[in-house]
Amino acid sequence: MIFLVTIISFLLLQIVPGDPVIQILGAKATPAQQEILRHELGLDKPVIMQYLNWIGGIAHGDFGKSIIYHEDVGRLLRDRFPITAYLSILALIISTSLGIFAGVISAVKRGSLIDSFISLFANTAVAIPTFWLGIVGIYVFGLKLGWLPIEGWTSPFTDFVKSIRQMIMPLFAMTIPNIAVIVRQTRSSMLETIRQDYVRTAKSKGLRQRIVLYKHALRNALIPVVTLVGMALAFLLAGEVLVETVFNIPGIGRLLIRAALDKDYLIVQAGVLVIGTAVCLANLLVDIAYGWIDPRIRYK
Amino acid sequence: MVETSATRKPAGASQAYISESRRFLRVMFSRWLVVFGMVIIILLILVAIFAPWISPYDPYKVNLPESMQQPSWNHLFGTDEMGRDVLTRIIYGSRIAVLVGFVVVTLAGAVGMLLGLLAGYFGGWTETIIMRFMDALMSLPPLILMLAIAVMLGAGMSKVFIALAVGFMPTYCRLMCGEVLSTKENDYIMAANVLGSSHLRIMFRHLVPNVFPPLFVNVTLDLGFAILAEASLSFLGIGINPPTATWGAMINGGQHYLLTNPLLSIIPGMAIILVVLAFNLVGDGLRDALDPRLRGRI
Repeated sequence: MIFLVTIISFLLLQIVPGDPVIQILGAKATPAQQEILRHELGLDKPVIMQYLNWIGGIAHGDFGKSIIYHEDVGRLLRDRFPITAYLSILALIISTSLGIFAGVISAVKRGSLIDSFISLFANTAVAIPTFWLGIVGIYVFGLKLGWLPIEGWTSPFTDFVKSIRQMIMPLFAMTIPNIAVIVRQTRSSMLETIRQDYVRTAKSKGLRQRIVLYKHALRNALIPVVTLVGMALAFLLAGEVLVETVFNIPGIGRLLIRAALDKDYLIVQAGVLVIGTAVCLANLLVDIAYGWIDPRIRYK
Repeated sequence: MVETSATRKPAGASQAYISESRRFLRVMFSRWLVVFGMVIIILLILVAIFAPWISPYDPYKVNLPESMQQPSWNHLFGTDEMGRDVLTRIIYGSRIAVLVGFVVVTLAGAVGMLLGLLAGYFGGWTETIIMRFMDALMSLPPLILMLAIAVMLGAGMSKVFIALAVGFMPTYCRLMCGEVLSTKENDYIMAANVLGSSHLRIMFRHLVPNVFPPLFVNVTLDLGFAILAEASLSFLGIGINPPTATWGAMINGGQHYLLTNPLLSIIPGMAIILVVLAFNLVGDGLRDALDPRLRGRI
């Protein structure tokens, strides 16, 4: 899978219309300058060789040099990666736990007021743009009420309280739509499971409702939800790009957008590669988690 | 998922057979949320078509003396930093939204389904190549894939359409391939084969009509999500170029004036939510109405 991600990221540079060298340098560059850059980027070689060179460099941690910022792309990414990873893992934990919790409640109390409320929330929240949620948050809690800082990033190791205060709104904006997706999946999966024969058997054995629900039903209902967690990370990372832009957080997302606006193709390419690889690794972890939740699919 | 009256009844409660189309209409119109979604979508399309006639002002004319006004009877949602009427720009933004939704989904659906049809029908290495390519596209978060493609292709509305379509295409390809794989095992396909029908005839005359209904749900949902994705790109400044009125760009423009006029950002966001929600509600309604497990009942 990671191989496929590298192919896609590599192809991205190939779809730049016209000559990327002219795109990068602008029309005013002399042919000699163009030639030097072309050679530097390895664009004078056949496509397969270009790919092998590029991937070989990355294997050594060499992502090339940014043309606009005159900095090592690998270093730019390394500086920003921990921030993005920290935020997205926190968001993943929050949204999965809250999402599964609300989804189970909604399925168990099906038809009740709380179920209608959760369903209504889930339906509306998937339609809310992450960035809009961030902006409304800034207006209400930052500007009007003055409870939370409106932007920025502090490492939790330098100032823990400030860091938490700065993170509340970005996390909120990122997780709300994601929670909605997980709630919907958990709810329908749980409803499906409650109808199964073994749940009825467990009930008729006289087991307590709580044990039937959480020991017999939930564990089975979680299998499709776990698949979703890998996708949830992809969804969160996309939301993170928007949230980092809104809240001015110096992560990979903001770097990606700034590079995109400045047409620094190498950074965009490398950013896509890093994000894609992270998602692939997360999916790998999900596959391993399957075996833990469902002994039937334990790998031999 | 929206609760249906259909699923709420215990299975087998009413066994009387009802024709497929009557059942479909009954399920669709029995819930007010689905009807609400349909009304919103119809309104959206009408507003988009008749934008020049119903909007009170010119969406692009700069009118500095009237800038940053609060809502009033003259300007229902106020005016932006260039004195343009927000309501008018919302109305014109609906044109972009409708255009994005339909063009992107048509493009993604057509290419994705065609590739899925080929992959599922021929199998073998055709399937391997097409499906592995789709896997590769799906291994990236869609928004980031679309963003990267839009950046690489450069500015322009048509480039944004292509970028979004590539992001939405893999789902159609996968769904179509799966549907075709199971449908082609049916006896009537074998019969057509024995009768000497050409591949093309089997694919388009026999397979496509039978696999289309489940894909239709996805089409409806994606109409909304395409609008949401375009708004995200416009918000980041990577989508359709200003001064074209798009809801995403309006939110972006408004965020610099949050203290003086928060409505500049809030109103277009509400428009996006309403429209995406409407497509979601109708999509969910369609899913329940087309559910084969409920066929012949209710």
